[in-house]
Amino acid sequence: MVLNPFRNSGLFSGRIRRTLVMLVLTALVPVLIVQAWVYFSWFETRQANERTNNLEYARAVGNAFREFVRDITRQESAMGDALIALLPYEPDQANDFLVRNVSEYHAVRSFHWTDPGGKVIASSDPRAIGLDLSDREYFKRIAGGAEWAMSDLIVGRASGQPAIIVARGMRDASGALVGVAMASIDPSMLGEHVMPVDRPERGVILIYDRAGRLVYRRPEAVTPPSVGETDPLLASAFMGHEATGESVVPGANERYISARVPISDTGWVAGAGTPYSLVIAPLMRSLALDFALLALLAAASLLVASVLSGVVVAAVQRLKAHAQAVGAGDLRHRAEVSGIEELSELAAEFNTMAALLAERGRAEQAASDALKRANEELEREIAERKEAQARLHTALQKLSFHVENSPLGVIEWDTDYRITRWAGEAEKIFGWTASEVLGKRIDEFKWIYEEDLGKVADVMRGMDTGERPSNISANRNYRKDGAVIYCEWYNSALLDASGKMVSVMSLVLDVTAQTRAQDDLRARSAELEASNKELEAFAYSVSHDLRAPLRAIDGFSLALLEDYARILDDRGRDYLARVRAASQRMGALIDDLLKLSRVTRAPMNRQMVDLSRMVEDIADELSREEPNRKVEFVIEKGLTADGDPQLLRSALENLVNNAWKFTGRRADARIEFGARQQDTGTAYFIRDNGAGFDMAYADKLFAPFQRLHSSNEFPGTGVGLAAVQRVIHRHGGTVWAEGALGAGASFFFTLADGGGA
Amino acid sequence: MMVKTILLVEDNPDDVELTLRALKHSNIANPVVVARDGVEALDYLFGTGSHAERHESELPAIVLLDLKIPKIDGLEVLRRLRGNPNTRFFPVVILTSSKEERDLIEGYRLGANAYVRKPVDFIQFSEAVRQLGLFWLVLNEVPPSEKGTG
Repeated sequence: MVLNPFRNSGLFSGRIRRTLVMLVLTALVPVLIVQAWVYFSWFETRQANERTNNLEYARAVGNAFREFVRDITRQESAMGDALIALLPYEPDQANDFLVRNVSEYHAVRSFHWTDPGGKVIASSDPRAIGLDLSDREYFKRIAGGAEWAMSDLIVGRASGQPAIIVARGMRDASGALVGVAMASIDPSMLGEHVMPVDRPERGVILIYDRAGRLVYRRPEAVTPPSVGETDPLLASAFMGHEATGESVVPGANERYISARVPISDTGWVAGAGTPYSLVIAPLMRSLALDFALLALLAAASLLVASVLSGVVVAAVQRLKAHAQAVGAGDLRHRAEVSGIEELSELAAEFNTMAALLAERGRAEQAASDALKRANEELEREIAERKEAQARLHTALQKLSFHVENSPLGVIEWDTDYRITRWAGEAEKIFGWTASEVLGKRIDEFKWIYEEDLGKVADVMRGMDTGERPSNISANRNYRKDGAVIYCEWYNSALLDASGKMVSVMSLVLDVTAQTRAQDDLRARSAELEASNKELEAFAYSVSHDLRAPLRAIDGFSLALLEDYARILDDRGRDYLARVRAASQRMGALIDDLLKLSRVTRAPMNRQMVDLSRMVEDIADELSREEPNRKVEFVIEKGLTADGDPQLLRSALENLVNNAWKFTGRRADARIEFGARQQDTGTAYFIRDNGAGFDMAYADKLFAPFQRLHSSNEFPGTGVGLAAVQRVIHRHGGTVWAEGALGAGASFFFTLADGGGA
Repeated sequence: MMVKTILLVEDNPDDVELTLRALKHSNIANPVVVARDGVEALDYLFGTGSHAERHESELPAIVLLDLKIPKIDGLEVLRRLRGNPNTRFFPVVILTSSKEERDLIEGYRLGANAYVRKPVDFIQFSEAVRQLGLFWLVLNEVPPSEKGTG
């Protein structure tokens, strides 16, 4: 059963609610009173502070103005002395003097100098000369004996503008008036220069003359200063008292908190004021915020009160309903004794009871839920197990398919090494069918090659002891037909959960063919080595034995030429010379042939080789040997390669020597060494601008003893490029040539990095 | 001082003749003893076998040794020569057709004093022989053998 606390009625209806609302309101009233008192005293304090503040400002303004006037009179005195000292003077001279002085003073509009009769005889303002000022009140005061005098706000006779006149009388030793110096001051110029008093914000400063006219106001009001203000503060100040209080400042229709102070020696009054609104503005802002908060608080309190009362009412209703539900009956009697607190206690009791009931209900629900979950879990497990079984079955099928169709022989043994499975290629490898061998122990038929029995026993021991439960072994076996075959065995012990061996699974690979091939290969490389040795011996023999007869032919031909020259005619001598030349040429051929075979036989010793450096060395050697040749070498720096330094040097020597040889007939011979990048790697090249060759014969260049030029043209045996090719081939690279007859030749070669033979 | 003999170990009569001719060409008039194989060379040097009656003073000033000789080859002759205290410091110049690197290295390793390859061109050969003779017969001072018979 759900009860609505706002049932039946408006927010504050019902007795309990009314009581609560009244309580809240009663609590609010003292808060309001206290708040009002706080604000009032705050306001009072602020006002008092502001009055003091303005009094200070007014004093400062008065002092500044008095000082200004005093300064003017001192200056007038000095000017008067100067003018008297100048007598008799030219009028222009005196006027100029006064003009210069005006420029020194900020607020001074003009200076005048009158004779004792009040007639202006010199002035900074030409319009003033000749004016008679004897009727002015301030002049009369000086004529009457005052040292200096100041006018109220007047309208200047020369300028026609509002002005204040400060006049000083100059007297001789006997006290007789000699002249009067006057300054006409522009009241609008009494700015910050004259009175350096700063006022914050909208505060004002004021100066009144003796007649109570506002002479100066800062900031200037929009409306012009009015005359004849009657404000009690001003009256008090004219009486000689400093006064503070409220006033309405002329030119601003606003109430001000003000101060008025008499300015000494002048009868004038200085004032300062602050707009009332400025003083109370922060106060009002704070007040507004406070009242808003208060209103919010009140509203919240009323709401809480209302809800609480609703809760109480609801509790009573619940109590009633509960009582009815349990059939206790005498509801009225109970209602009389229960206050609000008791009600809530009662409600709490009921709540506890209800909570206990609910708790029991929840527990029952939880138990039922748990049971349901367990049931679901069980069902899921069963489903999973079924699926796992299905998977296992599939895996087993796959496995047995693989085993039956394995390219290996599959043999399984029990712990006694009796064959329990004979599958895959086992029959094909060994010749026995499954039915012939199943159940037989490993040593019950002629199967293992006798020499390898020990090896097999070792493997079995390793499995039995668990030292090598999984291993690979190789041994020879007999086939059923008695043939010996080589087998590789991959053995694994299958263990139970306790680690005990239950069976052995072996996979067998017939490696007879591979083994034979390896043996063949070994034999072949041994043969190769032997023939290499033979070749070496042959080369050695050639080196020795072939050269000896040549030496004899050459030597004895020469002996004939030397010892029997006289019995030989020219033809005979020519023949002998030819015999010698031929034998020497054959010697050279033999040497080159040996060189070529050495290139093939020498062991490779790969390392980083600086090819550029090598070419430079070779070029230097050639230049030294034939200093008469002028050949330009263009060698790209820093070209390095991985290879055998001796072999590469011999290849480069051959190529550079060739280039050198075939440029022999050019005056502008040029030999280049460089590299270019191409798909197959770096291609190095030696390029010359020599005799070149016909590209039709390009493939013959590298064949041994092939020459494209006659020996008369260019000497050589035709072995050099063949040797180059062998060196490059041994490095796993290729070599090729490009050229044209009479247009030079380029020899390119590549070197396989790290690879090669 | 005795006349310095030259021992030429060479089996090829052509080479013997040419070598003698080259020596003559170079105005080297020292007596030349020729050994035709390794055994004969060692007999002569050690005063054994067919040379048992050889006088000690007939010991040669220099041995010109071919490598390819019958019975005992040149390198073996050199090895035995160096193994004997009497002949340990004997000047031995290998004079051969072979330009094989391993022969050259082995020759020097066994203590050959020089290694001369016989060129096919006789004029070059004569020049090589002349320089050899100049150095080993005229300039070089042989250290005394341990028996004091240098």
